[in-house]
Amino acid sequence: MLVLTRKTGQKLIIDNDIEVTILETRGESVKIGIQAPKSVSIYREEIYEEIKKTNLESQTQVSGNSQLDQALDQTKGVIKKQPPQ
Amino acid sequence: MALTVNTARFGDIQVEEDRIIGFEEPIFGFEKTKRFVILDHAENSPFKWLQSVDDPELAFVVTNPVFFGIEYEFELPDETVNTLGLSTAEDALVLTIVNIPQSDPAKMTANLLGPIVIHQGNRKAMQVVLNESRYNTKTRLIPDDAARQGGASAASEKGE
Repeated sequence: MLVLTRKTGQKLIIDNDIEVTILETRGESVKIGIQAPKSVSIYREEIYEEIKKTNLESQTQVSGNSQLDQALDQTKGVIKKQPPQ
Repeated sequence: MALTVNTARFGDIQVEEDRIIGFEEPIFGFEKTKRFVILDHAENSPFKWLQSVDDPELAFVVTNPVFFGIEYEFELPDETVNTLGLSTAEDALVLTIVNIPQSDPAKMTANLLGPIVIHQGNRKAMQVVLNESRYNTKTRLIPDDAARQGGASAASEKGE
């Protein structure tokens, strides 16, 4: 890992077209500004990891899972709005 | 042209090529699987299946939380609009992945923070990470009391 020290207002350039600016530091918080092409995805790490974890948990065990079908079919009574046909 | 798709749940099925959805950005954690197809769960069901075309064992239950009376509205990030080539909101189909705990399936939740957005015209798709703290990854679809009464009210609906 590359470790650099920057002052408030200073920037980093990554790969010619990504600009990272240290905007403000206050206590343990650092405010960062990022300018990048729209094709670049930027995520808060904890949110990215949480979504990934939830996805992995949600892939269904489809073989012989009658419990799952039962649960899905039981919801019929609680539907507020009918899905479009 | 129809394609034969091998699935663990539905067996071998024929899918027209123009129904195949291509993930421009993969579903997080499933970087190798980019082609999916949406299959109905059952008639009048709020659920659909997001079935992988390339991996028979990989499928997600998906739904729109609106069917469960959950308000769900967000602004599509620019990145999503550009990646999918969306020009109007009407072209976007929004689905959320459902998590069904094996120990208690009635406590199923939907991931409202990371919806799947599909361009209904060009069938490009991606999982979007919303920067909106009002949503989370595990929103209960059915409150406890409704889950208990679910069977009964479904029966009464049929009688109407």
